[in-house]
Amino acid sequence: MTFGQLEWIIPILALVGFVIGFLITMKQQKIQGLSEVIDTITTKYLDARKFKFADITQDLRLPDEVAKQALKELERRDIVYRSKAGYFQLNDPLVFLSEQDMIRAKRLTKGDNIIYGAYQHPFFSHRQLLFVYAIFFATIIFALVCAFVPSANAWIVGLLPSPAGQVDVLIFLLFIILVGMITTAAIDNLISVWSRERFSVIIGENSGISFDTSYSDEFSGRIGRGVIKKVDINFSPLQKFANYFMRIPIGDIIINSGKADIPEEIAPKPPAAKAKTTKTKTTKAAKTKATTTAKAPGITFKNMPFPREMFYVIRSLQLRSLGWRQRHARTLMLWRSHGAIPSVSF
Amino acid sequence: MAKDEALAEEGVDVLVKDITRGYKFRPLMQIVIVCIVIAAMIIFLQVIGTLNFTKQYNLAITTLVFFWVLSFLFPLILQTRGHRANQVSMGLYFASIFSLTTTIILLIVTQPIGIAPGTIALLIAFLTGIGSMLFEHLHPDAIGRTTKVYLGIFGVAVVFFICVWFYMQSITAGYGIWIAIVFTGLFAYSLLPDTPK
Repeated sequence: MTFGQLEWIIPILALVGFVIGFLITMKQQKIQGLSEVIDTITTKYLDARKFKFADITQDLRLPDEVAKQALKELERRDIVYRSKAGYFQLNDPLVFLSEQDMIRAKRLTKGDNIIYGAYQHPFFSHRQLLFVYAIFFATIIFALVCAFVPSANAWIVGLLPSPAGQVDVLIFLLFIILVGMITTAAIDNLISVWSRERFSVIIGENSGISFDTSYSDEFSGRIGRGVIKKVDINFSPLQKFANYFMRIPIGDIIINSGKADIPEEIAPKPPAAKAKTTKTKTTKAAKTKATTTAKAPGITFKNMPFPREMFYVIRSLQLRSLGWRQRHARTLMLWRSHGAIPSVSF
Repeated sequence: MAKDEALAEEGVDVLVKDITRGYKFRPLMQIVIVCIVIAAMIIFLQVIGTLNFTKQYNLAITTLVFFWVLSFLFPLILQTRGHRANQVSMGLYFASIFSLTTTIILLIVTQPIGIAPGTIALLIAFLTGIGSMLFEHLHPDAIGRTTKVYLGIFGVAVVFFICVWFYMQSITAGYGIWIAIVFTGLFAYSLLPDTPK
């Protein structure tokens, strides 16, 4: 029997596989009472207010079991947090920090109400990091050369345990590609963790903006809410393009302040130096950025997750009104309940 | 109340779509791009001549290219997260794995000469690895920091390790276990959830 005689099995089994995959995810789990519980929490317990299970059942006319299931689901999705004392607390919809970083943020802002928290990814636009993918592409090229160039094929057959037929070679080369793929993915994971550790940014209702400036930093960078003069949002063409395809949208947030506690290493260059550098740049985005930074001292938070939402939060803070956030809390919570925890990756 | 309930249980997807609307292509545009990718794939296969199914291997190549390219690009292009998208995504996952597994099994059973025993172990390692990677790519939300996920990763890592060790012993007996440890470490680390702890 030859391969050609049995070949038609492949598309048929692929279609069978598609149908199996489609059907096993057919059933959508419905959680009753989720809407009512979310409504109650967002209207009564939004700003770090603690509540007990009894408070929820008292406010709702739902059976205890239904409310319990809904709260359990919200807890499972990291929307509400339960303390050891049994109190529930809402994880703010725009806080994407890990539990440990959230505790750290609370401690360092003296228990302030954290209204936005995320990790910036300053390395994202570094083109040299694209070389991580070179490992994967190198293995593909290696496999293709070994498969189709006779001398390379003979060399690889010599390496494999004999007798090595073409199928043995094929499987070995596929494995080499897999090794390239897992190496790239592992390095990608490592870079994500590395950048996350360094670059947390939080916005507190009273403390303003705090951010890490070095490894193992404790939010030494600070911009008080009273000194924020201007806030701007900027999407570079690369970010705009990447946002179409990445799970987590990113963008730069530029903050100009009259007085900010910004360490020298990440403080912006003097306006004159900036202007000189930007003379050679021709893109519109580069010119706009140069103009923004040249006007006043400021800082750019690079590749922030959900920059538009961060921008609105800072504007709310600047205007001393958290109305926007309160209006959209329910929507954000429902969205968050979908399990979206941003972790920017390549 | 009924409307609210519907919103919470079914409309979550709508709200998810809403919050990322400013950043993403519209859903219709996303579907158009998927169609363009499929059309480009068909043209490519036509140009290289694999759409002529009377020749041996062409049907297999076409099926593999179609499902693997689509399953790789699907989560990148279709950014609207919803139940239907999850279903299609899971369907593509199974289709890709089924097509690849069937092709390799057919290649083995139709071989005129025998296949080395270590190759079977390497094949299992490859299918375990590629299956896990593809699943993570298609369903990143499913890889959370839960006991079930960690146990799953441990399970596939053990299978991967045993198979790679078995194969490497036949190539380089002295260092086989060390190479297997390094590869398994990389493999397990690449699968670990990259969401913050």
